[in-house]
Amino acid sequence: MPQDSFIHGLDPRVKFIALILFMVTLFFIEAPLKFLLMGLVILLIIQSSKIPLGFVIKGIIPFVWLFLFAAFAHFFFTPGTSIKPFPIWFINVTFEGVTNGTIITLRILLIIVLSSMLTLTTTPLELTTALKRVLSPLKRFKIPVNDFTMMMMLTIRFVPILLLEAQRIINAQRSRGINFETGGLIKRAKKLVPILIPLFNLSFIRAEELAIAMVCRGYATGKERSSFRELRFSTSDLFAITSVILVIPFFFL
Amino acid sequence: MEKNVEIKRVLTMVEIALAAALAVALSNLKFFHLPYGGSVSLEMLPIFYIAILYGGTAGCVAGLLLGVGQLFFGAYVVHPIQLVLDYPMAFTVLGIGGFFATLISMKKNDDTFDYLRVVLVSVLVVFVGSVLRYAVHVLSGVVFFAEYAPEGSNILLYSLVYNAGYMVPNLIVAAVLLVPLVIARGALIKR
Repeated sequence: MPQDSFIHGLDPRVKFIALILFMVTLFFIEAPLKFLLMGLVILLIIQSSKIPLGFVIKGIIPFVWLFLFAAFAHFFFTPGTSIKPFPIWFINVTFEGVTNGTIITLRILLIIVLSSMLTLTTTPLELTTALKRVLSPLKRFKIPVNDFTMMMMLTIRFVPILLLEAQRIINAQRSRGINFETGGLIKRAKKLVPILIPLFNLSFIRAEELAIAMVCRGYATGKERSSFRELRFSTSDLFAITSVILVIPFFFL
Repeated sequence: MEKNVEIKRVLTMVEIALAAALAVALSNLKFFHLPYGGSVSLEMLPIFYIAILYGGTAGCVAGLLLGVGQLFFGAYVVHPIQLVLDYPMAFTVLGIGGFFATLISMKKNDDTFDYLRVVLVSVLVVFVGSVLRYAVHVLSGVVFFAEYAPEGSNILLYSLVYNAGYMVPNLIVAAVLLVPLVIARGALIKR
């Protein structure tokens, strides 16, 4: 996976705002030409992020049933002027149905691709830093934003570690002869107990050590913290946000 | 003395954060698939666990962390309202059962667990959390289908059936597994 493209380097806040703007726009457009334009814009984003197109398409595959459902539901159940050989018996395909179905399928498709572009080009840690900035106005209402983002960072940071830990425990119990593949729902669930108890206890022992280490290094709840990676608004961010703002009016012409 | 209170506070926060991390990790492990499609995942367990140990607020915060964490690790978004409902909202409400858990004391006078009460509290917490999560997913389904399905289809029924398909087995598995976990925690503290 490439990690050093123009899109990867953008400020996560800029990417987030652009995503919201495009998503809202998608709900308003209906003309085929505008969908084509939106498709081109998204293709341009994918190109400049250096992510292979095949990888993006692979991400859509689990949603094929959703597209089929949306398309067919509209094709066959929208009242209106029938297309020539129909209605055959009770099956009826209407002109309005085909147009609506295509528009809605395209809309879902483009929204899924857009939102996956944000998570593909931004690390969870960057997103959390952005979240901290976005939420900071809430400090006025006595909401502990700093503590919350610290917890968010810990969560993000420990997911891969705990995933590894879980895999290790699963393998250990497998080598002792647990067979997870047989039995009914409750029987199978009970087999997970020897995995979950060590996993939970290890996590909470780790939590205790971590908390003591944090307090020893001077962490105090509710205080302002500086961070290693500061978000900076650069020229490329300015360029990106201006081009988004310039392209959006075309969708409302 | 002051220092000890601070350590306790930080410890609670770190435990909630790690429980959420554990939940995100567990949501990536599919332990078994159901015969009719869909799969049982254990991501709700750490949230219920925190809700029993530290009460409803902590449970809701852990759920919120799980929801936002899943969103950051790559979620599927088809509609802006669906995004808010299916991720942060659906998991935050999991912790609400914790508000009722404190009503029943699980310990006997000699500080051992009362097995029957642990079962009772676990089932209560799992049930309240799961039902609320189910309700949020149903609502999200209605929003989704109202936008994308043709007019005149029975949206509510479809959403109710579809979401029950995975929530019911998830509820049963969570209830079965929560009891040994809560009891094991007691054994760990006495160490």
